[in-house]
Amino acid sequence: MGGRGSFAAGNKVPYSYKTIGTIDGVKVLEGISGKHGLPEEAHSSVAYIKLKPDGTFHEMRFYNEHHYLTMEIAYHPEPNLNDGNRTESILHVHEYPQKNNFLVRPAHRITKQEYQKYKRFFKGVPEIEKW
Amino acid sequence: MKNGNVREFVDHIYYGDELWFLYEGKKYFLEGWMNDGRLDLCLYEMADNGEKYIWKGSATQYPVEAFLEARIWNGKSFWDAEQDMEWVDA
Repeated sequence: MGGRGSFAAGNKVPYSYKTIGTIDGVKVLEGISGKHGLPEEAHSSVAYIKLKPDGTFHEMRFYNEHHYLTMEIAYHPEPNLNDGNRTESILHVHEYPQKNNFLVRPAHRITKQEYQKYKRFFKGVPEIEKW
Repeated sequence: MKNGNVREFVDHIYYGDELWFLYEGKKYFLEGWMNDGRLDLCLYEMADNGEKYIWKGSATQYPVEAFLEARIWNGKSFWDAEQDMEWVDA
């Protein structure tokens, strides 16, 4: 698991994450020594999950066959997608349409189709009943 | 910066990543957001009627220096206040 484009090139790189469990076959990662978020690249998995400190789903990242980040689903307040609301957590998606470009990542509230496809990973997230 | 490396934190800002931190008992959320093709930085105090700041960037860069230099932390800049900030996970 390297940084953005910083492949180790044979050098020894300290681990930044540890696997603390799985949800339906997807590894749940936790940062080590103050590491936050999830990796920007993945060399051994197609997805990773991060939980909030209370064990609730926080985010899930998806990577393509070239190890690049392609999509992220997150659950937390997102004022830019929820009329400025800063207290209500919402499921939303960030897409990374450009290879290895982390600056451009359009966001949208999760669609019903996306929710149905991935909801088995959303540990502790209240069921969405109305669309 | 408590609970994390401040240089790494700032590196994340350059990418517009979502960042959560505490300062003087308040929780803040910083993220990059694209507005009309422009890369802006948005800072929210995560409470009803909390503070909100937006710095306008360019088509290719988030306005990181504007955020770092803004004296919004009791009159101090980010670099003057970062030792009292705690990086948290949402």
